[in-house]
Amino acid sequence: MLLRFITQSKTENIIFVLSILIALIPFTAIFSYISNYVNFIFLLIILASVFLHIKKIFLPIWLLNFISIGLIIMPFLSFSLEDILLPSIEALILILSIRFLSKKSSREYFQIYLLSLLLLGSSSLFNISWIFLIRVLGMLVFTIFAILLLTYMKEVKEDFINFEKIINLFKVAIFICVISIPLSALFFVILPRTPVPLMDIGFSKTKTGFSSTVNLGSVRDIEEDKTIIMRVTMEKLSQELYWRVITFDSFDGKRWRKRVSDKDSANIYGEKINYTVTLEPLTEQYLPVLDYPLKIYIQDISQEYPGVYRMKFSPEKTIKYSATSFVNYHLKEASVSSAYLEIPKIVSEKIINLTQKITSHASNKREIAESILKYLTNYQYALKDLPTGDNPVEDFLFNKKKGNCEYFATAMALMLRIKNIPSRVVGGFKGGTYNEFGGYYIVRASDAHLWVEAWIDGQWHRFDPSGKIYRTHESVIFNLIDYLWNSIVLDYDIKAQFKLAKSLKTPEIKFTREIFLILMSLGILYGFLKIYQYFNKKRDLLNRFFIIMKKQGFERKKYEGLEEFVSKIENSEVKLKAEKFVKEYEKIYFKDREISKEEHKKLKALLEQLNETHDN
Amino acid sequence: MIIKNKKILQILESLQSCLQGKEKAIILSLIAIFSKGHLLIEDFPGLGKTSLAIALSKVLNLSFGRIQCTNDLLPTDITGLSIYSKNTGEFEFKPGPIFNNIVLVDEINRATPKTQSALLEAMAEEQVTVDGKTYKLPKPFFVIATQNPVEIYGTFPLPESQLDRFMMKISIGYPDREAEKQILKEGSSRENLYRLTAAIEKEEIIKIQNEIKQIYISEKIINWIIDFVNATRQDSRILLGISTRAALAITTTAKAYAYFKGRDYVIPEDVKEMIPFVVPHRIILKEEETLKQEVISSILQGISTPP
Repeated sequence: MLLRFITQSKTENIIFVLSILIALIPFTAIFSYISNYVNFIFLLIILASVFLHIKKIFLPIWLLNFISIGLIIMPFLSFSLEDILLPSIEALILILSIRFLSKKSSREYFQIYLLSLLLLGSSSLFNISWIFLIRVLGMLVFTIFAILLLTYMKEVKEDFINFEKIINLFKVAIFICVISIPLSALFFVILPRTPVPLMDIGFSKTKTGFSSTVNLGSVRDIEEDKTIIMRVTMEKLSQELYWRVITFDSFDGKRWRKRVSDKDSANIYGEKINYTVTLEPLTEQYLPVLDYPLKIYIQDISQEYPGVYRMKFSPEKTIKYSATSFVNYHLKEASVSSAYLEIPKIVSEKIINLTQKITSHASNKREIAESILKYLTNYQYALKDLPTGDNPVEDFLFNKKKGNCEYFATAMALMLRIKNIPSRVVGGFKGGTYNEFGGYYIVRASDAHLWVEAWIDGQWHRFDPSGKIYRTHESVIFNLIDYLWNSIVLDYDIKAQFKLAKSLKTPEIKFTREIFLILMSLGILYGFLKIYQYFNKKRDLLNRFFIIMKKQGFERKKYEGLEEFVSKIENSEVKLKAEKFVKEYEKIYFKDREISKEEHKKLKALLEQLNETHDN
Repeated sequence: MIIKNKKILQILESLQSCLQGKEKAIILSLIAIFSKGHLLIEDFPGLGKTSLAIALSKVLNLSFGRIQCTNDLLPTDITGLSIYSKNTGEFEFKPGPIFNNIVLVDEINRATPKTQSALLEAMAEEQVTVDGKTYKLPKPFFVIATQNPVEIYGTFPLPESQLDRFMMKISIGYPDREAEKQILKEGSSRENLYRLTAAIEKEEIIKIQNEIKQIYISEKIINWIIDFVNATRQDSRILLGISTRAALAITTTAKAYAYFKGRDYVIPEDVKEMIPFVVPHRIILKEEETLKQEVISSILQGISTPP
């Protein structure tokens, strides 16, 4: 049999590479949040350490201490009191890199692993996506493998390690990780936790597909922005969904604003739908709801205007709320504000004439709206080369004849007002992709939309002059992972624990769950025990042998071989039995064999006999 | 030394009649033969070095050649030479005594360095070159060289680098009282030696050599041997540590010894038993007064033996 040996220096190389990997895992999580110069220094030092490792040069301790102090102070030079956390993390990562420069015994390696773990933990302050879980798993496997290797080299004190043994150690590392997952899941469920993060810092950059004012022509790349705004858990509806966020009433020729804040009473009839929204903090203080909302269940909100909900504080992390809405509704309001009829100066004769021409055949308000809608279908929906200038509406209607939803909605609202029909523009989102696996809608920044509402015969009617043109395919699985991570892990707090605990009290099914948990933890303990035994079986027997021999007054010197040791015993009975054990043991140990069950039994029996000799 | 291997026991049984007091030397010689190495016996004259060589060649059924070294011995006296033949009119190669399975080189340190090196070359290469022609030596090929320890006049001591070619160096030692008594009673029995019968075939020797090669040696023991070798290289009392060839000799002899003991794996004790015969002649001490055996055993005590 060809045994492949890996010498100690090679094993050290393996451990070194593993340690670099372990350090890089948290680094990949935080490098985009910390200063560039820190990243640069970190990578530079890691590269230098690789060079030094290859050349087998180790820097003296005093120099390392000197560099460490310098690097620790550096991040704090430009810090403000409010933001002490970031420089701390920067200092931490610099200390981590310094560890790589020194001569590394297992102590230094353990420090590296501990620092990396700390950093990975701190990375969760910036970003808690499900990739965090992947990082944790990667780190778990690598760290356990590295520690096993370190311990093996330290305990066995051999210059060589068998190639197969390395593979075995790696397998054990993976095994430990696999069985530790249910254990950590158990801890996850039972450990107490607070509903808010200990350190809640809003690092999330505000990107938004939403704005509380609408500037014509100044459209950003919303349509390309795939950022998820919200996920809405609900049944799938066959119709197109409109998510109402805000209404605009006042147009100054270029910009839509909100002025009306009267809370008119309205009567709504329709089909009720209940749903839960998980909202990213991207819509300023506004809470999107399915058009048209009846009630929203969350604290600290106010109804800015019927159908428009606003939080009292700007949310900084994902929030979750349930709401009830009507679909296929009738929204009746007895009277409306005169603001819905205001026409900006910018509306020229040309526009008024066009409006009159379009609606000349219409006999009632409903028909007027329909004919405007019909006229606008001749226009092209476009995202580039949008109408601009001093009068973008005119540019849209007469020159470019193409635009995005902002132009369509504006043009229609103005035309309605010209015809003396109260109208407003509603901002929000349209559609969303339904995830069949998760049972929820995903609404993205690119789903942002504007449409028109017209007050006809005491009712608000929705008109959407610009349909949405395209819909891209979603990667369902990654979305689902993201969603599950959010709803199961991140949203899991003390409330959820109480809920689980309460549900545990009820008998029957819940009782078995408790037993299941106990059984699972017992099973995991058993697994650990088995691994321990696997590693100790061989050594264990020999240790017992030495203990028994010591009890009888025979102590083996380090340089003595087993047979040499036994041959020096004068008591012939003990000697005979000890020899028997040693012969059997050597057969296994010096042939590098795994010990079989029978052999283990036999050796144990021999040890028992040896022990009894002493008692007699 | 308790031997358990049946084949080896058979050989020892055949040697029964001339074993008196030489048991250990014979076993060690057999170990050297079966691990394909050459043997150096250093002892005083008249203790049975030659008898040992003859007895071994008889029992192992091998051809036997003897070279008595003097300072006028020429390399061709060992290798043989080409002689002009009147009958054929051509040069004919007359092989020397080295063309035997067992070659006894008596008092090797009396030969001149030139002759010594011709012999040592033959030992290393297992072939000799005479007049530009190369001749293979028979297999198995095995040299037993002897030297007297205290001679001063007219000797050319073997340099350490040459000593490295010998797998083991042993001494026979004086027989104990009982054995000596026996010898005196029976008288010199050189004739008896030639009457010894073969206990083993040539093919079987090669087979045993191969079986010994297959003996398992754990990496734990290899590591320990390497520890030992490194310790000799770092020891302040030693001028020059032992070579890798020496380390190899330790493992092969340990394997052979394990085989003799009836095991198919090596234990540390095998190695410890062989070291005193494999190592001392390969090291040079800085101070002549210290005993090599003492230095070696102190080195062995400094490193921990597996497990």
